[in-house]
Amino acid sequence: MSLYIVKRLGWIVFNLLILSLIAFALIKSVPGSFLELQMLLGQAGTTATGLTVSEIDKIRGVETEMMKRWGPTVPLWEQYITFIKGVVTLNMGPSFRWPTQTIEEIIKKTFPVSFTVAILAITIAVLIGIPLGIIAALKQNSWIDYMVSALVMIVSAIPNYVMAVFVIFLFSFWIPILPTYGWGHPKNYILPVLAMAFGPIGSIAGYMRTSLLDALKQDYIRTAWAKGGKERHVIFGHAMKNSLIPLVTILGPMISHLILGTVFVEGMFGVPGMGQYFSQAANSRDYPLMMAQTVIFGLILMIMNLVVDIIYFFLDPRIRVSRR
Amino acid sequence: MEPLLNIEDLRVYFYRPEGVLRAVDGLSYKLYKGEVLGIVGESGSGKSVSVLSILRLLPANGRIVSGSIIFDGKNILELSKEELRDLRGKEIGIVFQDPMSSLNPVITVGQQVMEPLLWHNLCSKNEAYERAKEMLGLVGIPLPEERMKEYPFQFSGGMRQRVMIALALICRPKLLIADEPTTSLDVTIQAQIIRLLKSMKKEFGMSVILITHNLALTTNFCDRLIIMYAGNMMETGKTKDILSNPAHPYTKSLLDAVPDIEVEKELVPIPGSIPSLIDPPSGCRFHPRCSYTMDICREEVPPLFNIDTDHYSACWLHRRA
Amino acid sequence: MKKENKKRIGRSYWANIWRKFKKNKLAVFGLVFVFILVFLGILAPWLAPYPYDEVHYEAVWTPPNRQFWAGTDQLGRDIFSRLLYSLRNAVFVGLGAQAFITFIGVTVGLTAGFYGGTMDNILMRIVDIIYSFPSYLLNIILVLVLGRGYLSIFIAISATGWAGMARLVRGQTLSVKSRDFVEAARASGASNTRIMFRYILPNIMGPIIYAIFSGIPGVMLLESGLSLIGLGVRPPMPSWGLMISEATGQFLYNPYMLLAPAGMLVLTLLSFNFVAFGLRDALSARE
Repeated sequence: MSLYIVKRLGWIVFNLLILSLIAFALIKSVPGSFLELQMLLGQAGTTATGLTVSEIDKIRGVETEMMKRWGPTVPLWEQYITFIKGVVTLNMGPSFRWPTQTIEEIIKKTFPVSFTVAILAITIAVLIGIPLGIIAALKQNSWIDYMVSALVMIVSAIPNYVMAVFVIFLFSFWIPILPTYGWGHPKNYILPVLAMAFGPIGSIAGYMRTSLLDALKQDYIRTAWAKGGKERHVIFGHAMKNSLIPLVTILGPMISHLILGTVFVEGMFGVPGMGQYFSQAANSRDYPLMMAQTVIFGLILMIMNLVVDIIYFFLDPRIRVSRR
Repeated sequence: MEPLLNIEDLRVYFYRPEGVLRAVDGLSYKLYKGEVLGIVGESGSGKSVSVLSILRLLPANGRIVSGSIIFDGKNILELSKEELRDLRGKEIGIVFQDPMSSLNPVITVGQQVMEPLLWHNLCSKNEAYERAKEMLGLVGIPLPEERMKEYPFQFSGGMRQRVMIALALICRPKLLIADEPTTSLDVTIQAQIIRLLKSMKKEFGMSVILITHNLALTTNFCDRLIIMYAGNMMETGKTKDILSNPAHPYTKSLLDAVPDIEVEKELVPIPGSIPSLIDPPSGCRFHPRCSYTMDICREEVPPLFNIDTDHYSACWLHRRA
Repeated sequence: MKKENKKRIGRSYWANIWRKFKKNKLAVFGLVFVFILVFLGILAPWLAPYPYDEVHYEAVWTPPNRQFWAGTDQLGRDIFSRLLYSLRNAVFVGLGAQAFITFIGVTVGLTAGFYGGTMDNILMRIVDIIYSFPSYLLNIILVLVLGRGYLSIFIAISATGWAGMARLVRGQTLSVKSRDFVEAARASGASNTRIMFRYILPNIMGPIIYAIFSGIPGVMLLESGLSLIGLGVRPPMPSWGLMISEATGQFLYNPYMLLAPAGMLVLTLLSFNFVAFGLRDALSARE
């Protein structure tokens, strides 16, 4: 088992290298990006901070730093090596859009924010979604089932940024109890988490329901009844085990979707997370930040997928045992 | 002597969109303590459905429309859910046809064999573990201690069926129902399983109902036989009587269709095919395929005629004036 | 005799599924709606009362009236027409990209799950690598690189999307592979391709079809997400995401600006979801 984990970690490093290469290559191939270095620096810097170019340069030596890393005189492969070294040692130089900050500073302060919101959202989704799905499956075709199914479907069709607006409208205007904008207080977490959790609740409940219904139709359930099992034995002892396993397969993509989805949603709530910074970076062509964030996001996703795989490994004996 | 199981006029219908499927249409028989009863018939004869009804394990669209099933003095059809649950696995054990799909793939074999004991609160977990181990050894699984921790997919078909038998018998039930236990297994394994059932019967003394479409399997094991066709009983009696002296045309055809290793004979298949159970033939359900059909066969369902001691056949041929 | 024969004719596998599907009114409704939407989308250029970029400065932010069925936005453009064109956009991207995703994903997943061993390892490595990439970010980068045309969005979405399908199919293949009928097919001399496509694939169609129908909404969401942050198809060509982002700040001035695209997006997604759920139930129910 531990050998497996070590191997996986090795692969993660490999994947990240490929990812960084792809990201680097793609971004570098965008026409005219780094050549207009000076111009962009001037524009972005002054817009962002209100300082003039020379003032910024005095504070941080930004311009020289940029030229050293990304300048037209530096060969591509060297730029890439610098980039990789930078990511690994967390020394990535200044961002285009916010030249007064270095990339690693930005990431250090935004990552915990996004991560917390995402984890909270998925936890709520699992805690609410699974029981909901179970109830719907057990009371199939009753009004509860139809209601849950309907709710599930509607909720999973609303994208999180639309949900965001509704949630804001509901809890900030209609019933003004929660703050829309701003940060720093636990209260600020509620709306973003709510908006992001809705979709997953729907998916999890729906999938749980189907999965459980599927399991209950199997022959081995009939055997369990025939052995004199009570409801809880058959449904929770037998059927649940079989139905939770496929559920884990959708957890992985769901978490990824959630974490990446922050790119679209954070802007609406003013959540100072990595997502918002990425979408702004994309709009203002802040390439160094984008590249670094791509690799960091990639790392997070890969670790999460590994965790999900480990869970799946422990749950399904067919895969666990046949690996021997 | 009171029979252990007394089934009277059982009718089981399935409600399908195409119509009402009359799987079992008026079945009656008695089973005594310590007896081995074989129910023989082609697929669709209603044999499996009839025994699933005993434990009320029918699928959702099936309904026991009328009749009574009296087991050990209690009418199963009138039992509460809890009372029924008490019977299942403890007083009546059942072995299903396909051991691969009938065992839960993600739960260890040991756990699944222990469950009947645990679910009926018959003993502690430790004792259940020991008993399960012992049972697996009894049914012929080598190295039971290790195999308890394994999963069904790690067993071969025959071994899985032994596991099923183990879990059906672990509570020492009064009745064991074996629903086509050998059908999905290789021929060589089939004999092994029957032999196992025989030795289990000898060991524990329970009554057995063996369901099969293969008459040959019943010869050395079953005391009595019921021949079923299209939801009705055609013939019943002691095994040796039926095999040596088959009374019903259907039984005769069945025997004619079975190859005999000693005597060279022509294999005669039964012409025609199994009738639709939604719209069964009028009168005797076998009449379209029978070589002795008379007018009355088409019109009225034949009653069971008493041919000999404990030998009955439902055929108009036996009617005397 | 004839009556007996008619009743004997069994129902085919798919006819059964259709029958079960029909019972689910929501699913049927969804399917009808999907067809209507696709139809409307294709015919948008002919159905829209106004061109999507025609401005009417005299009539900004009007609520729905007889002239502008869904009102106008901040530049006086007809929201209804823009909705239709967004629908066309969404249908095109949704169906197209999903088809691509399905084709690649099923092939890779079946092959990997069936052959196992090295082939499985290699294919799954590739899937893992792609799967582990932060797809939205790469989509965004790809759009920046390739420009903001349909083709680039197409490529961007399907380049990362097929991995999830491949994984699903592989998992399903694995759990079906050990079943007896596969061994039987192999024993009767069926070629590997035949086993994969005629034996295993039909038995895992349930999850696949469900994945397709729930994948299309995902693709549409991705497309509208891209346009939400300004990287979708070039404006003024509309997309629901673009319309939503334009409307968010002005929610209180003219709520219809937001409700219309959001509502249409949700309705479209819902229809597909209804169909998906109906399919799922119909496929998994047993007689």
